[in-house]
Amino acid sequence: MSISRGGRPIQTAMLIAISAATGAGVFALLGRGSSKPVAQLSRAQASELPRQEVPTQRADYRWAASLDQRLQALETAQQQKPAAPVTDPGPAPEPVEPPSAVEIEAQHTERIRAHQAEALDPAWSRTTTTVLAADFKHNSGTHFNAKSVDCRSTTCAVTLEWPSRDQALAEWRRALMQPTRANCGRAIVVPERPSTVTGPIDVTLLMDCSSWVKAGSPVLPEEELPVLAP
Amino acid sequence: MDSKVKMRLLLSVSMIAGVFVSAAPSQAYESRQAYSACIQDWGSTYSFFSGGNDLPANTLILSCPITDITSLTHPSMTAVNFHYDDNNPTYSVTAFRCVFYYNSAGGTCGDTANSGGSTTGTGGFYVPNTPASFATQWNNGAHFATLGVYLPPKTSGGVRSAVKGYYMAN
Repeated sequence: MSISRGGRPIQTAMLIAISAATGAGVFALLGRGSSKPVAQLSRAQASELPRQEVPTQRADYRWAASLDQRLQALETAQQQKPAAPVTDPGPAPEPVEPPSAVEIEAQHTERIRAHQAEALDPAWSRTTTTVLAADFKHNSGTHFNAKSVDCRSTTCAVTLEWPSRDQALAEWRRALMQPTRANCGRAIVVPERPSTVTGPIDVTLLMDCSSWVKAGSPVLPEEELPVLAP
Repeated sequence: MDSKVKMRLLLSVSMIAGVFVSAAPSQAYESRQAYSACIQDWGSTYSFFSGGNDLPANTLILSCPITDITSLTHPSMTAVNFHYDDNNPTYSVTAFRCVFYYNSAGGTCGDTANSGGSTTGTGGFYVPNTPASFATQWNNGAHFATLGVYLPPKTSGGVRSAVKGYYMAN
C-alpha cells in the first residue's frame, strides 16, 4: 500500500478502521466458530455436513445382508475378546484445590484457641451457656453427651463425648444440625487418631454467635425449640 | 509514516478491537429445586411425605442438596431462597446453609433463617451466608454444600408443614 504524504490523516484513519475490523473479525471467528450449533449454520454450511446414507430400494436386500454380516462379525469378535483387566483409575482431578484433613483440623484447633482467648462477657456467657447446655440434652436417638459448654462473649465451645470414634463418625452431622435456641453458626471436626486407640472420644463443636449477638441475642422461647424424633 | 510504525499500529489496533469484540458479557445463572430433592436426614422412621412432615409431635431434619455446576457453583451464589408452607402455629420452618468438608469428617453450618414461630402460611426467605467464619468455608468450592431444614410437626388436624422448593442464583 502506498500512502502519499498529503493524504496522511485520512489514510491513517482508514488504516486504523480496516485493522480494527480485521481484528474484530478474526477474534469473533476464533472465539465462536467452534461452538456454533448446527441450527445456526448457514444453508451453504449445512449442505457441507455429511449426509446419512440411505439405501435405495434396489439395493435394500444386499445392504441389509452386508449389515447382518458385519453385526455377526462384531458379535463373534466381542465374544472371543478376553475381558480387559479392571483397573481403578481413582477419582479424576478436580479444579478446586481442597484443604487437606490436616489443614482443616489445624484450622479448627486454631479457632478453638481463639475462642479460649476471647474476652469474657459474664452475663452473656452465663445465659448462653445455660441455654446451650439445656438444648444439647435434646439428643434422643444419639450416642453423644454434652460434657461441657463454655461461652465467652461471641463464641461457645461445646465438648461432645461419644463412646467411640465410629459412633462419632456416624453422628457428627446430627450434632452439627442440633436445634438450639441461640441462632449461632457452628463447626465440627472429628479428630483423627491412631486406629489402635479405642474408647471414648471428645469432639469440639464450635459455635460462632457473632450475628446473634449483634441482633441482641434473642433467645427462642423454650416451647418453640424443635423437638426431634429419635 | 514509517512502515514499522504502521505495522505496529495495525497490530495494536487489531488486538484491542479483537479483545473488545470477543469479550463475553458476564452471565447470570439460576437454579430451582422442588422439595423432592430433599431427604430426611435423621429419624428412625421415614416421615417425609410429599414435601411434608408426617410426624404429629416431632420436627424433622432435612438435607436439601445444593448442586454445584460449572456455571453456578455454591461460592458464586448471591441468592439462596427457601420456599415453604408453614401450617404449624407454634414452630417455624427453619433453614440454614451447611458445607461438609471435602477431606475431613466434619463440616460447618451458618446462621438460620425461619418463617416465624407464630405465623402460618406460604412464603419464602433468604438463607444467609453468615457468620464470617462460616462464609470462609462456604466460599471454598471444594466442599459439598447443602441446606439444613427443620420441618415442624403436622397439626392436630393432620395438616403438614412442607418444603415447596428452593432457588439459587449468582
